[in-house]
Amino acid sequence: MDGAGLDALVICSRGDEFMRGRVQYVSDIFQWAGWGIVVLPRSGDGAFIADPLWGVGRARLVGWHSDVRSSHSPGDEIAELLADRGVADGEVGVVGLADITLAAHFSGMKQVLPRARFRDATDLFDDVRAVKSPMELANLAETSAILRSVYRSLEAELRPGVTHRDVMAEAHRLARQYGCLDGIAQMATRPFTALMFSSSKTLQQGDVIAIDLEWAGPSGYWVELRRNYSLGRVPDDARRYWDTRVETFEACSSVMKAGNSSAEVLAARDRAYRRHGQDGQGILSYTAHGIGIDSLEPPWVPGKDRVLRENMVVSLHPAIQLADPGEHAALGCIAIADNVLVTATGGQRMTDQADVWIELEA
Amino acid sequence: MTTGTLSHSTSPRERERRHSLLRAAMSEAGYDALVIYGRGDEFVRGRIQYVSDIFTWAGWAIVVLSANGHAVFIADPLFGLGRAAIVDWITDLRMTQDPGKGIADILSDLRIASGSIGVVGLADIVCVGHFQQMRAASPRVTWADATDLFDDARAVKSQEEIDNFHQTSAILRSVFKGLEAEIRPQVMESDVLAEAHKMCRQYGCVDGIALMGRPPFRTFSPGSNGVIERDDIIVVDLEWGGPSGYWVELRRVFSFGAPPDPAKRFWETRVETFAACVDAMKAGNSSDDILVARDRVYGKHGQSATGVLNYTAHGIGLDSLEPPWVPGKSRALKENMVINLHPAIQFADRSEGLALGGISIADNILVGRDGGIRMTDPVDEWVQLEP
Repeated sequence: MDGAGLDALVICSRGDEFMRGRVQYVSDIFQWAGWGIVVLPRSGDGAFIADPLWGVGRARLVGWHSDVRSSHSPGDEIAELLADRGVADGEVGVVGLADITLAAHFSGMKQVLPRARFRDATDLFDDVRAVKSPMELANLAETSAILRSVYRSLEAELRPGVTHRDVMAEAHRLARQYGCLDGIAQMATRPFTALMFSSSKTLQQGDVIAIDLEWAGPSGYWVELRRNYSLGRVPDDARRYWDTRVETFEACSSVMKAGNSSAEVLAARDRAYRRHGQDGQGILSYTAHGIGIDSLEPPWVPGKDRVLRENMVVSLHPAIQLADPGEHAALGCIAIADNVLVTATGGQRMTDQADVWIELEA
Repeated sequence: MTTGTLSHSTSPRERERRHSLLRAAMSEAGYDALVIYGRGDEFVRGRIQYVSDIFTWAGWAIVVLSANGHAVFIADPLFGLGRAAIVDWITDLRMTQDPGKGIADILSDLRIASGSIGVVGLADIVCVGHFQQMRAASPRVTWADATDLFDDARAVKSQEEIDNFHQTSAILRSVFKGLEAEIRPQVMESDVLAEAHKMCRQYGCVDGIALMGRPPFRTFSPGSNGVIERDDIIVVDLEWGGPSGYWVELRRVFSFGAPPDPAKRFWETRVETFAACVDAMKAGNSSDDILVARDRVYGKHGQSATGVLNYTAHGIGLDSLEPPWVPGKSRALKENMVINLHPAIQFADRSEGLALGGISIADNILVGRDGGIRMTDPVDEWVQLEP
């Protein structure tokens, strides 16, 4: 705020795993659903304002901000808070104006604070939180350890005759038992269409299986981790393709070096793809994106490039396009995803030290 | 290979009913198209599902629905189109990082680049950045808020939608029955609620929360590492979208053996309040009549909810929060609206609140001609587990 000449930040969020974390970052309040706002003045105490349905019962227990309010008209509350702090005619940065602040709320704020000067502070905020502290890295490591344990237990669930739904339900149970706050568990088998939450398909001997777990641990810090299995020996075509995925992942990880541009992750991916006649050109789906207390934080590529800095954390899952539908059905969901820590010398894996195709006894 | 159901499919007849309903509303309001905006939040995800069957776990999503019936789905690149492509309702699927330009292209294709467009969600979910992009990319369009137009159209549920609710209700009844075996002394809250998550997922629920409260009732939590004690009052709240995406919020109260007298007396007032509110849910009444009915009972028992902003009742469907909600957004009740009821209360005496505050009832209610009809539990019973 000092650097940007701002008197206060109005930090907006929503109960969506991409947009919930900014409020958590400055309040420790986890908001499952609805909107939440933190008003953080440059000096003095902050305050939390929430949607009446979600309420403020849990927020009051947290103890970071003692001023906790529920309102149908957040503009009025924000005006009162800024007036109390003597900055009703000041420079106010709105975090989320670019991507989550509601048009209706912003209109209300401008109406009740006619002398305030509002500015978008989304990038300002996101760039500050992009570099993780040792405590944040420990939080991410905790979630990684939980997901390793969940995957280990899931191996016993993957057997012929069991439904995808039952396997995913067990993943939910385990993740919740470890205290995870929110997440998704997705699964697919050949022929691949898309990773799905809940299918009544049953596993068969010889299946090629992809599982994706994307969970926020007890601290709220997210890890997206994917593993690939076969019931019996991995088929040759899947093995060959898997080897190229490992090579691509390593190539991308190696360029996650402080000082590099995040766009270099795409260049490294494409160099590996060219060696194998593969293609990622023109794909809008993100190959890499920041991750932390939101499961999607800047930078993301393609789309929102940044210079990489030491202790940024990036979720890497190189996108690929398989133009031939038959090839997509055979190989499309075979992939690797993990959190990678940006260091001075290249990316450092945060969950799995090596990628191993898991052949299960059938 | 065995196949399975990957995504809920609304019947062709119901799909046509919804689009026709919205086209008629558009025609009446003079809109050339609706831009229906959603986000992966259980309060504002369902509008997209209502017109596309596409469940958006996270990120933003938009459906452009023209007055002539053409529909296009646009999604956030991170969430992607893989799952949307499996659903066979909207076939024009697009992904973009610039939804303003994406919408402008669609309006141009539809030859309504200078038309009148209703924005569904402008009141409650469209973000400033995206709306600015939309206006900049389509400068000749006249934009208007169509949030209420859309929500009022979908507030009255069809028989197919009511059947979807019943499916979710039946699942939650089964899950609560299963949980009775999990709730036992010395088990951790998080283990009980983790089992609830597992069972709901096994029944195909798409999303939800499981919460627990025990005295002292400070709040409901998604599951701490505290252990249940033999003399606890345990309140479990399950709020889930079933396989169809239709939500039910259901609460039950448990104890090992008979509840203590003060809790039992308070419970009886909760049952009486709930029944009075249900009676007031009659087609033609105002949704505010629910608050009046609640306060009549509270008056008899020296209870109060004056000034409480938390909703006592709110619409529910493909979103877990739909209009009307009271206090705050009142509507005339119409037959086949579905309302989730959980009468709010406040305690002047803090210690009374800590002892009793979590003891409560929540269920979906169908608005009928003669009053509300319970959709999950026909009667409210305090569940006494074997001590």
